[in-house]
Amino acid sequence: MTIDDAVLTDYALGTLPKAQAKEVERFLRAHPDAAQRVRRTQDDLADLVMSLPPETASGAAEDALVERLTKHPRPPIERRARRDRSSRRSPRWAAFGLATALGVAAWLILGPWLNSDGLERTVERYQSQPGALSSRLITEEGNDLGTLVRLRDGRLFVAFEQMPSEGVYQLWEIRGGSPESLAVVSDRSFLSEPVAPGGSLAVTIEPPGGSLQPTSEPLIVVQL
Amino acid sequence: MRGVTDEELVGLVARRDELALRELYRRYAPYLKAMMRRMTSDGDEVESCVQDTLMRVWDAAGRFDPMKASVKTWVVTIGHRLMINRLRKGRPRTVELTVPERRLEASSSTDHVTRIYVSDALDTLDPDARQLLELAFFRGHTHQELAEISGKPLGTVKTIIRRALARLRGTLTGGTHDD
Repeated sequence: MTIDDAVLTDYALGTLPKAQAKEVERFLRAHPDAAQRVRRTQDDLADLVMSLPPETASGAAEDALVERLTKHPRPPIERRARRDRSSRRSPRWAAFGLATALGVAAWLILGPWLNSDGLERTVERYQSQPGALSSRLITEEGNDLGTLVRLRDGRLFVAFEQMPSEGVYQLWEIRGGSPESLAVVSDRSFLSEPVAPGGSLAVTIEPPGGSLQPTSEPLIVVQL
Repeated sequence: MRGVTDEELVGLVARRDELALRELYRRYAPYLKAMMRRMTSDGDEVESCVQDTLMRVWDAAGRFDPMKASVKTWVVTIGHRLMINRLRKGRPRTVELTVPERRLEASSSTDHVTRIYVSDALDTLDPDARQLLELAFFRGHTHQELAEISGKPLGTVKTIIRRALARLRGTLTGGTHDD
């Protein structure tokens, strides 16, 4: 698909089919100027909505909303993929095993200070640690996914430029050809527990909540 | 919470503050309902989708990034996309071949909608442009579908929509109208 101004307009209007919208989102991650134009259009459309005469929102509906909160607690910050050795059937990931998952505890501790406005400072903090190795996560298509910092004790800190608009990033440790889920990243960053050198880190986009095995081609695979 | 900014409210919602969610509901539900009533005449669907929008805000508040969007744009975009998805699931495979004059108003039946107000900004557009823009934004029709509905060439539809948005921006910001 050629992504021109008309396609970006369709995206801002919300009229693109899901598959094409995802393609546009990948494009926007690599083209901040285009992302800015889309944002302006979305701002205009939001202004248009806010110029409509407001409807009455009843107190009963408000109470019903809060009642729903008690029946639908917010999902945990991090949901881990469960181990599933059946993933070895996949040709691309053929020899891959699954999921010792890591990092939930670390995330829960770090989460409150990893919100977006502090993320850049957090990245710098990890990059400045003695022995830390930092690299950009650049895909083969040239898209900049974010930053990977390998700490001296083997922990991996990953900060994404932005979240996928649909689905979530899932990190996989590839060892002996087998992918093990490191984390389903429900925010823009993740700190793992120590990962032994010699393996690889892969990033895929998975449905919300993550997958037991990779369901999409990796966006990037990095040697650790 | 009237003195609290939208961004502060989202921050509180991220920490599971129900009062903050109530305040966001009070600020945005009236406009979400107004938008959604232009998208469907099903009042129950509107109420349900407004609630789903706020539930999505509740779930996603921790990921909100004010550098990428204002709260207003974020909330409206969430609500708009949720309703578009609902419309797509219920939409027949064939598209309409004609668009009745003031189609959106004519399709509505409730008291609220019979007095639908066409905003000043939309009124600055010529009828064709306004109708195509409304069909795109409020009904989720693609450019291709709009070309079929209107009988206009695809390229013409794209140009009309793009110019309509530029004119709309000019009206809303008080600047020049034409691109």
